[in-house]
Amino acid sequence: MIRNTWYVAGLARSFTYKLEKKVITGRPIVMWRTQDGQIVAFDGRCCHKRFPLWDGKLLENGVLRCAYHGLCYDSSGKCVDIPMQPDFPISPAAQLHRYPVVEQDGLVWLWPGDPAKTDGVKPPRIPELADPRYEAVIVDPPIRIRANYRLLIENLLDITHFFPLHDGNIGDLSNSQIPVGLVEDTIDGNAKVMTTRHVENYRLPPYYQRWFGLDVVDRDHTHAMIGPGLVRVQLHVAPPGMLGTEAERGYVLCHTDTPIDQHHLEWYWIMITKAGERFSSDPSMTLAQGMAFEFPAVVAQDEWALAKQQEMLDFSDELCDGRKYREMNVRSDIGVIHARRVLARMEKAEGNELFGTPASSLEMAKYATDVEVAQARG
Amino acid sequence: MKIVVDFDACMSNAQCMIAAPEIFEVRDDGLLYVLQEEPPEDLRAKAEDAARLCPTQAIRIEG
Repeated sequence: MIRNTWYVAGLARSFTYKLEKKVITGRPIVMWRTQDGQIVAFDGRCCHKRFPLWDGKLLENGVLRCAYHGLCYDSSGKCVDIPMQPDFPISPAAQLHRYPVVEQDGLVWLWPGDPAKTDGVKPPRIPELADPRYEAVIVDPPIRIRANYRLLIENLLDITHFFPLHDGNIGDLSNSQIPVGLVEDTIDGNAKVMTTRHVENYRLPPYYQRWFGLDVVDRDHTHAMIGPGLVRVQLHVAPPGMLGTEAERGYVLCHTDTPIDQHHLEWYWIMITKAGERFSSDPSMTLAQGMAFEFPAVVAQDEWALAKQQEMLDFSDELCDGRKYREMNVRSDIGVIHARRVLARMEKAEGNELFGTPASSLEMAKYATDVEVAQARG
Repeated sequence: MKIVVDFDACMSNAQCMIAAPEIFEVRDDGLLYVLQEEPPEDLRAKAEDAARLCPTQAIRIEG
């Protein structure tokens, strides 16, 4: 898991003067909004006997008291009271490890890695969330799936899964056959891998028809991984020949992706439209409200698929003939492959094990060659 | 014989490396490296296997 990056730890509005338990990249973290209004995050273990601090209590004087032996910490993480030895000086070692936190666009971003390595890397912006010309609906509570967080990124960068997984709501076969382009970039120190799909005279699948009141359209659809912590989707649809005009409609759909640990992810989806647009099939709702009302049916299919993929990842890659299973990529996997390369570089820089990268194929190929040589000798 | 790879189509499946490790190598940076652009004739069968096995048809053999 990549730790030297920003992940969403929660929605800013949900942090108050109350202890929150968070596990991000397998690390236990206690968070709260201090009486001064700052959100702080510390390693969640009391420095005395590793008792979970989120089960402690915030006192009226602003300190956190551990529920087990009563050690108290101030909002800088410094231990300020050890009740069983009031006459002893408190060791400077009685200090909680602090995680960098940034509150931005209504989201709380946390850096679970080395605080010395944040230089030049800023949490990705979602500028529409701070712009009154837009309206947003955020799923809350977030979705939790028993799946490695990479699987959500790969799901979003490869929308050929819209058929058959989302057939009849947002997908169809012709969507899967639209050629995929690729753009790579860096934004605020975060890697960006974006797939692009442009199609003309395309009949929209049923949900989009209902959402936008359009049938046959020209369409631009992009999916961009930023960091690994965010995937930003942009959709533009308009009657043929009218993209870029007043007739154009669409949305920005952001997906935050936070690894709880190797096998669990936490996901907020954020549906953003221009403020004031109405939902075509039910004008009593705004477009953002209407889409957010129907989108969970799509998300439920992805939850199902990601959990299934994780179940299969849990098996050993060994095959009956001594070879190893490996995934076969097709042309539309271009976004997935480039994202894997980018993420593999980040993992490698942290000295981590690689996930689903061609490094394993390298070993596999060498192994396969050895087997053939051995058979030839035999 | 000349090996031509369409790197836009290459998806680093490494099937070519399994078929012809003397010619193709997918390194742990996730990229394909062509070790010999003009391999000797005795590798032709392996090179043709590599081109045939490539799931994205990214390898062409000229000459």
